[in-house]
Amino acid sequence: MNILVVDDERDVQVLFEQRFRKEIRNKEIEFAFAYSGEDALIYLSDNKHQAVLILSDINMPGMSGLELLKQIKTKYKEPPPSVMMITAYGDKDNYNTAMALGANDFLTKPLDFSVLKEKLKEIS
Amino acid sequence: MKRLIILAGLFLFFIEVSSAQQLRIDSLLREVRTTQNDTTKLIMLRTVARIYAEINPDSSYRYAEQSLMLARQLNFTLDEGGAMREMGYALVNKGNYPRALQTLLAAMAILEDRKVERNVLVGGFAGDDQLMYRAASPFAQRLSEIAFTHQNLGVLYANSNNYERAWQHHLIGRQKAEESGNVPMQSILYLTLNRIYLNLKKNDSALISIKLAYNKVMESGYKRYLGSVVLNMGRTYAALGNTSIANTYYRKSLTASAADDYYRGVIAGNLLLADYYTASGKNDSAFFHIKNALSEAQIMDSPDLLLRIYTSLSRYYHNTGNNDSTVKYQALIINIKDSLFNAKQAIQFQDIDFDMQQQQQEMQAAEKEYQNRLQKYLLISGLAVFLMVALILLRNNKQKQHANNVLEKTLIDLKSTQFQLIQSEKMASLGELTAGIAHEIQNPLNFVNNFSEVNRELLAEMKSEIDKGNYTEAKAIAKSINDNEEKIIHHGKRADTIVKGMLQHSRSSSGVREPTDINALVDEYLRLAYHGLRAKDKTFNAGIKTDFDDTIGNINVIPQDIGRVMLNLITNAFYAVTEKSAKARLEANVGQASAAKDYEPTVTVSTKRRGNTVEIKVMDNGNGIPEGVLDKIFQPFFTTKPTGHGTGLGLSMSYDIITKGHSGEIKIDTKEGKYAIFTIILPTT
Repeated sequence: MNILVVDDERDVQVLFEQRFRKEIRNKEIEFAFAYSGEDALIYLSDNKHQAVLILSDINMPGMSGLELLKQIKTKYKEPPPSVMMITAYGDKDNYNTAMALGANDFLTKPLDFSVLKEKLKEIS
Repeated sequence: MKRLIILAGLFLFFIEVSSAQQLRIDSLLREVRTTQNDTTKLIMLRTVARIYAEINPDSSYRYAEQSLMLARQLNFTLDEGGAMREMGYALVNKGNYPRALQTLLAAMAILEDRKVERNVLVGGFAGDDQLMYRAASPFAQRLSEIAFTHQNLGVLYANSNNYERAWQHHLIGRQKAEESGNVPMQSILYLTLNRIYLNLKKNDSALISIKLAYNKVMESGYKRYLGSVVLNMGRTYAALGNTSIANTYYRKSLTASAADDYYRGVIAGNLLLADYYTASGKNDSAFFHIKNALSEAQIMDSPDLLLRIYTSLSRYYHNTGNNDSTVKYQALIINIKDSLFNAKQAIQFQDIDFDMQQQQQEMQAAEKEYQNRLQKYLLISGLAVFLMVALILLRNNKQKQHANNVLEKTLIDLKSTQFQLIQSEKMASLGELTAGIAHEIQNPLNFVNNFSEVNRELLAEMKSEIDKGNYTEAKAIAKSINDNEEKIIHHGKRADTIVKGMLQHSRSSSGVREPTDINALVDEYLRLAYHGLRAKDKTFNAGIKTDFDDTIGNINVIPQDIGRVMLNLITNAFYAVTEKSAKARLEANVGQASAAKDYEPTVTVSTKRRGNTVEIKVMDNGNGIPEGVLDKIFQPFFTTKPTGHGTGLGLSMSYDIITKGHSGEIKIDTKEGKYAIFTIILPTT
């Protein structure tokens, strides 16, 4: 399973690699990382249909996660990749907006990796 | 014989003049009787008295007395004094010295009072008496009268052989006459002063005086006493031993005296010529002149003149051997002397003189007393004024002190209020920060927690690998643990820095500049501001663009102060874009969908080095600032935010921090409804 993680915090990459080290080692999951919405779009256009799941932060400088979500959902229709939003602001507005834009899930920080792993198992 | 004819002619001439003078007196007296104007009457009477002064002392006295009554009636005090003086002078010529002295002193008492100047006949009365200028100022008129009175007193003392006193009066008189500017009066004073010098045998002084008298007569044209001046010129030359020049002057004096009806002059001149002829043995000529003198003197009825004539006649008869006549005139001389200045009169005179001296002493004492009192009063009033001034100054000082105290207290109050305001502004911005800070701490804390958890798992894995004896794998895990540990430390420190920054922000500014990474500082506060707003307002979202110039490096600033400025500017920028997007959304709701769709709220923060300065720009595409308030935005307490949303101190404090604290500049570029750009320029040196 290919997963694209979008977050402006670079250490998120290390964290994910550590948390999913077994899955990575066992080739169950393959991670790609982007540090902004713009980077993510570039990655997606270069590697079509590679990412099955996109995990994105909402609050980022420049293009926000919601904007990214909107663009992904409008650009990639067949088949649309799953997009999970991850944010520190788990308020109703944010949630509703994300859902309205077609988010597949909505997780709040601090991220519970066991919950995330469960969700990933469900998808795969 | 020829001389006799000339002399006879002269004599006739005198009589003619005399009757002319009498005609003038008659016409004046007629006018006195007919005029309804009392002022005119007074002038006429005084003129008549003056004309009679040297012709007939009795008549002079009578008219002077009449003018005195009238002057009293009309309340012309100066003329009262003048009339009294005229009476005194008549009494001198009548030989009644005690009464003369009394009268002259009374006149002087009146004249010495300055009040007489209050009601004075001025102008328009060009009488025959040229001695007094009615057109002169009241003060000058009074001085003239005083000078004249001193002159009269001088004559009186000279007649009673007290030349010292006579001289003193003349000196005072001369001074007053000079002060008054009355030149005829000066001529008279020099004339009689000459006579005193002659009696004192000071012949040189006498010559100077008589020459001055002559000059003054010529200068003023007042020739009433010209005959006398010329006569005394002769006497002075005689005294100096030049009898022939003296004789010439005597003769000239006869003409001059006659020309102005100065009978005393005519008599004196004749007597001197008689003396001259007697001395040179020409008894006939001497007798001729004595007889001339006698006939004039009989008109005048003046005892002192008669005395001199009788003395000359007695001497003549003695010289010519006529013993009967000599005895007869000797007897007449004794008679006159008795009436003129007898022992009784002399005592009276001295009594008056003594009284006068005492009176003067008393007056001087009174004057001194008055001066002392005046000084005392002046001193007292001076002290009172001084005290009042001192009191006023004291009161002013107290008021000032009070005002100062009030001002000082107000200043202290203001300073404490200012401090409180700054504190509350800090707290307000801290409130804005808190949420941002919480969020900012949340991220590193998440990392710390996550990496710690991962490490716990990894440690367990490593242990099992070691148990399996798989050391290569265990080593790899150990490296990961180590890497994670690095991350834990990094994010722990990051949280620490944020907390420290928050504490710094709430604390008073250290005021110390330190090398600061401007980009990092700006970035930190940008995040704090963003997350702060985000935490408060969930709907808030705005694009953030940054453009940092990496070549800036560290510059010397007070970090918490610049941080405060950045926080303020950025918060304002976010506020502006939020306002605009709220408005856009509102418009979208009423059907103008395009407005909301097209607007992308964006805040751009950039830094740039420009030579010796660093430029920090905070740009937003919000509502901009209306031109009307542009010049007010840096004023304290100015805010466009709704009540309770802003202290109005943010920008004013920012302005102070940049301009005063860092010698920098803060500039605005804005277009209403489009954008606002705040540019901070900080010097790097």
